[in-house]
Amino acid sequence: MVFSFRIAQTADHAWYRALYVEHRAAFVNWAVKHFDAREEEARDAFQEAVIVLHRKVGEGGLDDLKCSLRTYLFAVGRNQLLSRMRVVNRQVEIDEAFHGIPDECLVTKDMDEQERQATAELVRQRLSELKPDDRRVLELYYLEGREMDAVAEVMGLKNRNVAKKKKHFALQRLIALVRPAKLLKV
Amino acid sequence: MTDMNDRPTDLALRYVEGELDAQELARFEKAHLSDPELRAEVDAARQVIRGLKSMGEEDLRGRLREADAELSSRAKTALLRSRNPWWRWAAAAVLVLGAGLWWTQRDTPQRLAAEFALEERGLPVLMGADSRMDEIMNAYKQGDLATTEQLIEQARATSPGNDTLAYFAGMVAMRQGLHTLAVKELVQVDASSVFAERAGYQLAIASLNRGDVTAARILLDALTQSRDPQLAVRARDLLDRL
Repeated sequence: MVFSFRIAQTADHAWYRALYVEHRAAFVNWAVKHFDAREEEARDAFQEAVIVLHRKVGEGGLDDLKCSLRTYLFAVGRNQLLSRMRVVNRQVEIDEAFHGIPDECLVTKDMDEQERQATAELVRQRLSELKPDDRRVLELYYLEGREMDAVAEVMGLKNRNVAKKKKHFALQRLIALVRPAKLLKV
Repeated sequence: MTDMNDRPTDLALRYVEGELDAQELARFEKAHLSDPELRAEVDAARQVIRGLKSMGEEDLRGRLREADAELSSRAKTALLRSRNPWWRWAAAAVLVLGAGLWWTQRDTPQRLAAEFALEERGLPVLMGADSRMDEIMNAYKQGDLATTEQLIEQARATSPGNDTLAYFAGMVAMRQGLHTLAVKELVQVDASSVFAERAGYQLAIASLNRGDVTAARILLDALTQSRDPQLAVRARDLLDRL
């Protein structure tokens, strides 16, 4: 199914949503039957699988994908599900061992994740300070996952190269706004 | 406001986005090792892009949760209906009445083609380098089909294999109700063209107008995998009705 993967490289968020809707029920049934998972756990794991696919496609890390998208999503979803179930089991053991100690003293969020969220929040704030055109080009490309051709069409720009330049300058302005916040290691 | 000649930021961004050519990359990587300012710029660019991508992931997560809520609500409604016996009788009555109505007003290929027709509004007029295309689009948008046709023919004399011209020649024929001609024009749009999927859909509509349901089915079936979700849904809905 190389055809499916070619679509994924140019897909926007609506496409990933459609992909999720198409395979969600089958994955949930499969996960409940084979891993004795709860439906809610299975749904969360499958959502994460779609997010992982989105991330990998963005990084160009799936260039040599040798299976169908469905097989890929089911494999990633299964790994997500199993690691979540392991975390829950481990958490039960911890809770039993540290009975009476508040959760916040036992569970600390992964530092990378905290840093990622802090950076995202800062970028979100500064993004709103950009001129509408600059903000829009970045939102279309990074937040909505549109292709450069689509960005050019939505913004009424001549072609993808013009859109690319606009995105480049908008990013420079955003970096200049984020830099004084000193979160960056400058 | 940033100075656009800010070279370290510009270079660092292009480096992070993988846009430097081989020579620039080699020079940059050499300078990067000994220049702390450049390293800081690369870190800054990476962090901002990572932040934007995280926001993108959050946006996608939100859409998937919305989809979940929608699917769960649909499933609940279906469950409630299936447990309600009077609803079944009502549904049966509606089916009997509906069957009669369907027989008198059943979908014909042409009726479906009209219902599912996708209006092509034309490309934005850019007042730019390609004034020829601007003229074509102006005439097309004003509904002046004879002038549009004439301008397309003139343009084709110099660009015979142009996908945009083939697509709009097909659209002009569609608007004139010349469906066989529309098919001849639209099949010339290459599969790699940005118009390929839209042309495929219009071909399906033209085929229906010609009564060729088999061709329409094949085209629509391929479009259910379209990267354009609206087109995919439209193709699926039309297929369901065929």
